[in-house]
Amino acid sequence: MSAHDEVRTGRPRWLGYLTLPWRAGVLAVWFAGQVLASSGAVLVDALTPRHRSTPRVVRVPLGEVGDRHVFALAVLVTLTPGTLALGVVPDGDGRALLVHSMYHPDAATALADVARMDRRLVRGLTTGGGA
Amino acid sequence: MILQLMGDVLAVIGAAVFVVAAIGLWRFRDPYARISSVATAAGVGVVLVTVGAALSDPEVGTVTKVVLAVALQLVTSAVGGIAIARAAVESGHVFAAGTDTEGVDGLPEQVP
Repeated sequence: MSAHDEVRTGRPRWLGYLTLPWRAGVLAVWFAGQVLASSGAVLVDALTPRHRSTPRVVRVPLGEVGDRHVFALAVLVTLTPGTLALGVVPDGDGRALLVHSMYHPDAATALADVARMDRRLVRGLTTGGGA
Repeated sequence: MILQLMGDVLAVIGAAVFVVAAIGLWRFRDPYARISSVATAAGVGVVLVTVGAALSDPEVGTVTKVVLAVALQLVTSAVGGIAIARAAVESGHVFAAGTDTEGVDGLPEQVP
């Protein structure tokens, strides 16, 4: 996990620990916003007669990441209304997350959303480690 | 007073999340959409109801319990949902007609 963090964050580890509470808080607020934003589509689909979902399964490449990272991303994806993690599969040298999405208009948007969530997660919870 | 009101509002919103999830469970067409609906509600709905309860009764003991309950609930409901979804894939439950599974191997075939 640490090698991966270094590449992405590139800050000294002590600074990572110092700013962790703030970054975790920002992540929590952003995620709460995501939940609210994506709950609208589910609400409308569940409460109106027509089926409005455009279900798809996408394969999100994660690269070489650790178990904790995959776990955290899968949990966030599943807690977001309309998306569900289906499992982890090998992908080249690393792993990929299978994500079931119900309200993304196309696969590219779904992939971009999960990739953005992954970036936010890394920024919010890792301590980096330049040493 | 204002905390009590906010607590009540959150608890009602939480209950509404459960109602919508129950409707989703009944109306959505495949196990995956249904699991998605329930996993989200079990996480977000319980959090809203418990935080609402904490706001109605804001004491150190209550807040501690709620923080613990929220953390455990968010993680376990998601893990439960993922485990059931994975079991559904492994046991060959098909996706609803029209599900786009292009580019993903090893998933159950759709019924046309």
